[in-house]
Amino acid sequence: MSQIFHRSTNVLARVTIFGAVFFLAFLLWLMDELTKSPYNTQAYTPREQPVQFSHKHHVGDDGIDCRYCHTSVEKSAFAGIPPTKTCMNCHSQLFADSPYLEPVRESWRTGKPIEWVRVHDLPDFAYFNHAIHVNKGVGCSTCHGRVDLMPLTFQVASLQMQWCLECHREPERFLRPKDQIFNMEWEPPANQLELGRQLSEQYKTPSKAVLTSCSTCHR
Amino acid sequence: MSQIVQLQNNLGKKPEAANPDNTASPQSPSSGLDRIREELGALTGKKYWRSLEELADRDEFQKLVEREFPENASEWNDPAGRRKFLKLMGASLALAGLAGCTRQPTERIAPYVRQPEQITPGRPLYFATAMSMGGSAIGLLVESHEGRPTKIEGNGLHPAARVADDIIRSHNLDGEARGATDIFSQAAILSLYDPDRTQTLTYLGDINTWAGFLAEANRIRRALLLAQGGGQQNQPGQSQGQANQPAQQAGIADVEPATGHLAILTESVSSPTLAYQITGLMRDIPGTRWYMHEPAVGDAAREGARMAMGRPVSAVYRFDQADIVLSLDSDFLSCGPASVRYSADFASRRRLDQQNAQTVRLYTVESSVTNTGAAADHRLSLKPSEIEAFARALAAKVGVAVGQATASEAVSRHQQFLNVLAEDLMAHRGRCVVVPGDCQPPQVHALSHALNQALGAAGATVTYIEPIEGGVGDNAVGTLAQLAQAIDAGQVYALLILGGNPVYTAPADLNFAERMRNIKHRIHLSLHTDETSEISHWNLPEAHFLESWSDAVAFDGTASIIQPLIAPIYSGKTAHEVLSAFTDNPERSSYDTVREYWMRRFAGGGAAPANPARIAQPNQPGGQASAAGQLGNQQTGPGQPFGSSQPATTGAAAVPAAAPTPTPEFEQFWRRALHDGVIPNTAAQAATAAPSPASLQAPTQPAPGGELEIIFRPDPTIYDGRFANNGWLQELPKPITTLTWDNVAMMSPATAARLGIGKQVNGVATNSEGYTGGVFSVDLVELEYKGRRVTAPAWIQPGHPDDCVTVTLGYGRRVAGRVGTGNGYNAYLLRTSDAPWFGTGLTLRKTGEAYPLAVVQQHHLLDDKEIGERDLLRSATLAEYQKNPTLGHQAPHAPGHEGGHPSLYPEWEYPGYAWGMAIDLNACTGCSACVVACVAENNTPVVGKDQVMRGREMQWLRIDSYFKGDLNNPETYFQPLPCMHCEQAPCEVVCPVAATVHSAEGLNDMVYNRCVGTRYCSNNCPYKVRRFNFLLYQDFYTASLKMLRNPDVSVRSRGVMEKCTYCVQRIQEGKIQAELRDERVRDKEIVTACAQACPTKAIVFGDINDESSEVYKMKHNPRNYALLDVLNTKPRTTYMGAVRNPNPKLEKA
Repeated sequence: MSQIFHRSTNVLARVTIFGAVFFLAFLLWLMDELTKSPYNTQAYTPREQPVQFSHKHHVGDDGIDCRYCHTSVEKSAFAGIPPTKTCMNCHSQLFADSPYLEPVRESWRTGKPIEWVRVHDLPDFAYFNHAIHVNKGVGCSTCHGRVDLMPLTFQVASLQMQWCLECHREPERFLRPKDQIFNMEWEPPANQLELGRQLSEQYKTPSKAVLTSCSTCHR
Repeated sequence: MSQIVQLQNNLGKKPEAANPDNTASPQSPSSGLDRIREELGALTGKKYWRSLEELADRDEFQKLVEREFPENASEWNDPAGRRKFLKLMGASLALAGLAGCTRQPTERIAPYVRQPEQITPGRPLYFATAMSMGGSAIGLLVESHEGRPTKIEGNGLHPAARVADDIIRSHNLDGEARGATDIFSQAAILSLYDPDRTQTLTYLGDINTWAGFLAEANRIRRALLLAQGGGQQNQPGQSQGQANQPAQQAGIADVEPATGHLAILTESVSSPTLAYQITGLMRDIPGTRWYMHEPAVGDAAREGARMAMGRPVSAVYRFDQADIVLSLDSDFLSCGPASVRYSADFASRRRLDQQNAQTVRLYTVESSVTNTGAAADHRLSLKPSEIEAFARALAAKVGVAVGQATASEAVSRHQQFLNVLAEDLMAHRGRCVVVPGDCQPPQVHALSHALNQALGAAGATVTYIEPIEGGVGDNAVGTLAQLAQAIDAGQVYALLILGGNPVYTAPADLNFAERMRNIKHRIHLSLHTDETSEISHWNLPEAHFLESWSDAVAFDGTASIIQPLIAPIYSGKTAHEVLSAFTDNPERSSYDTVREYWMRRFAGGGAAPANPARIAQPNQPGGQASAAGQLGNQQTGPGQPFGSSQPATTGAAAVPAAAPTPTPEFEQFWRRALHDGVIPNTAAQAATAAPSPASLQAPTQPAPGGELEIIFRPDPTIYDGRFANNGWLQELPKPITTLTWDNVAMMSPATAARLGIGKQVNGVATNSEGYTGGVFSVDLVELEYKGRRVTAPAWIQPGHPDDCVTVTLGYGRRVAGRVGTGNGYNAYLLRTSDAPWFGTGLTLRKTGEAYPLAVVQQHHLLDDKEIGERDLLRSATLAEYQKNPTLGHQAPHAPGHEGGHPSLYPEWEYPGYAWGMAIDLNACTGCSACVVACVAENNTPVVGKDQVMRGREMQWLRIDSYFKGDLNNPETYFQPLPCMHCEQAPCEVVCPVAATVHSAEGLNDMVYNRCVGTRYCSNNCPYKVRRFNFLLYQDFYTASLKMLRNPDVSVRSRGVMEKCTYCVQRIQEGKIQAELRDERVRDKEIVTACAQACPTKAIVFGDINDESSEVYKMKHNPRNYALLDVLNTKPRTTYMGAVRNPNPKLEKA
């Protein structure tokens, strides 16, 4: 009785078995990459906003400090989105007739808030606190990137847990002196690790075990 | 390990040994009962039981103990068909897929247009306000997140909420006394956002407008004024002139003269402004009458004071000064206006630290089963009608002239108790106090006043103040029965009901619903559409107190301004605004009204302002008319003066009628009053009052009747029915019975056995036999009293006096909302106006039907059998404690503490903080405020009666009741049980997805977003503190409930395990605030929700690495012990055993 399968089928079977392993591994890798990719995280994707607000102009060109608008960043979990009043402080005089600013003037007239689209949007089960980061040596640009160079704001980090843990595991890699927190152009010096350890001691940064405990961010 | 094995060997057989005749015993009830009694009496060691069912059948009970959840909790046996199953599966697959693969949806941020000055986005603000209930107020601090109130705490500056010796050291309340709360004020926030609140103003069932109501009010006003005729036209005065002329001119055109008067029906009024407004309106529209109906607060205290001292003064007790307390049917620890303060004061005398040894001894003589009785060192249960005879005999013994003490069977039965009690009281002259209960007749109150006088307590442990309730002092107020008479006489033209639900709460004999239909104009202001709304013409949505401007006085007379936390969600109106509608300034806001009252009072140096008189009304014959007439002559407004010694008794003409203008000093006073939540120097003046013994001669004649007595009590959780639609309170296990969602007819085991109620299991009358079958069902009985009948589930309660049945009010609501409608039975249907609290002549008949109850006492049972008599609860007498301060047990379990049991697991190290909790069982009164506070803080869902019956209740903190000793009068202990946060947590090692892990500070973190719902953790938890979302219990869709949620806590969905987190959101916030200051967290800076709400300081939370912290000290107190210590889980939550202080002369041999 002749064989049903040709001998070459054996090779095919081996290739298929090993191939399946590689294929599954490839699929897993692909999923992982997709999850981390800006397609999923929406990093580097400028959002359509009701007003085409440019941080590049306001921060980079005009040199307005972050805290002029984000007033509660040093006191509260939430950095604060400026009320229409803050916009009108200047724009009742400057570009007072610009059609781009009509939504702002409309808000001022009607008392209805401008509905900005959230750019940095953490999941609801993660509780991030701006105040403690800003007061303990984490600068704005460490997480938000060079906002002063962004015409339309986008996020530069994945905002995934792995990214958070990069710093929570080794804060000394990112800490900077307190007077440099709002400096957009700050670059880590060559001896960052050494400086970071010093600062970490000075800031009384909690231990890595505390920083990576689940309840530090999830409640 | 070896220890455990040894214990098993030693103790494995013990329960059988203890029940030698378990199987052989003849099943006759009496002999079995005797056996159990003998057994209980014979036990020399500690022996606690949790329910009658446990006593009756240990083996059956043990099956229940061994289950992770009660039967039916984890089984999918909902009546769901195939279609529903497919629908659910389809939906969850689709959702799972969607959630896994899509990006986050776009979220928008709407900043302010003009940001208010005080607001820092993301940080809550706290505002002081007050909640008024039953005629007095408790001061509150309400947390507000960007304008939405989310959590209520007590205001430490307020006398009714202050926990005197507990200081908060948080960043925003540093150095202030902590304020505690009761269950009602904790749950009030849910009532605010209740989606079933009346949302629109209706007239005859159709939607109408406030302007429409104002027009109607104006017509009624003009009709009333027209009916008063020409008498007023000659009266001087500006306001009436302005009001009358157009009124009368217009009256000719479109208004018929009114036939009768305007009747204003209120609950007890604690607002001085409201009382001022009502009395003002009574002058403005002559003939207007004020009636008051407060179903759950009797007038016995007032009448008793009048009887003893000739004046309705109020008594204020100083439990922190008393060594001996006697409660005569008073539940002062959980009921009444000052229960929080009284609990705090009482517990401060029970504290057993080194400096402060326990000296208080509480005797309770009571007719039902209450928390005060549970806290007692000696408890005597008597029929309610026997308490007066007991008090009289006691008074005679102490030396009060009470005429001849009538021979009473109850007294002779308890002669020894009486003798010892009298001796103890007399040995502590000036350091003892007698507290009469609201449910007792005035005679008992009068006797108590006389007793306090004779014992030197008056002026020391009890002080008398002028009455605080508006309108009470000057006799202006009629009762509901008088209103009914007036309606019958055709005297009521319009009825204005300001809050309350009289159609439901009125005594049955008044037939109020029928009578109310005879009134021409019926106006009802209420939070909910209820039974009264059904037969009212105008239904006005009421503003919740968190939406209102008003004011209120506390039990000692201290006034507070009630300020709104949020604009009325459903355009609700306050009683002030509704009353203004009937004046010549109809659109005046309650803010203006309240401010004007305080401006007048401030200008008068604190004296209560008098109303500008409209007309001096001559006394008329007839009860009602004379009451109103007296007021017209008396000229004094309500409320109490702050500084001056005399209330303003000047003629009304002397007070300027024009509205006063605010001075800078007033503005300062006003802002301070709003900020502090109390108005300084407004506490009522001490009244000099001495009881005259002459009043005590006549005892109440016992009403002839049958052998059974009926006792009416407000429900422990939903009160008089006003909280019927509050899911938190419905699902809160009632103290002692641990019943939820229902009320029962409560009776003693002996009475039940006599009437053949309950199941006889091994000779014990138990409530339910088939409790392991999932459903706990009891007998339905028909109660017949004075010709009226209701059907109620029967409940056998050890400790209840024989031959009486307690029924609780507030249930059986026909129209309450989606939560409250249809639960329980309506006990008001049996209540009559002549005997509102108890009476004889009840007959009880078994219907033969069964009724399922949601009782949680047998859910989540701790196992004390397998390894023998583990002492879950420790208690001792003071003498035993002094002999052996550890109560015979082990040393504490602080981290790094030497000793304890060896463990295979490595120890954790905590170089930073180590959070821990200590619970003092000696202080806990079982009030359950902690449970509601936990629910409010942690977004815990309500699951409903059906789910509770299956053991799926979600509260993170439960209070287990333990009973000890005599079946007829057991000692009762409470044990609050949150997550233990074990060092060697059994839950952590079994989670396959690391959703529950140990934090670096010793917390058992629960990571909801990792949890896949295997429930292994819960299976492995010996304390049974984990709660699983078997179904989607959270309401994600009701808009108003979204505003309720605490933004700092995740809202959990279906399929997720959850449990107590030690309020980790508060820990993190406290740590961040401390780190911002570059400091370590201070002791008391972080307070968990349960600890903050606790009136008695029984729950203490803190850092056990900090040797100066209170929790550290408590954990190193010799009384400290860990629950199920032999399991070596090393819990972070530990307990301090209860110590009672019984009189050695009364101790059993």
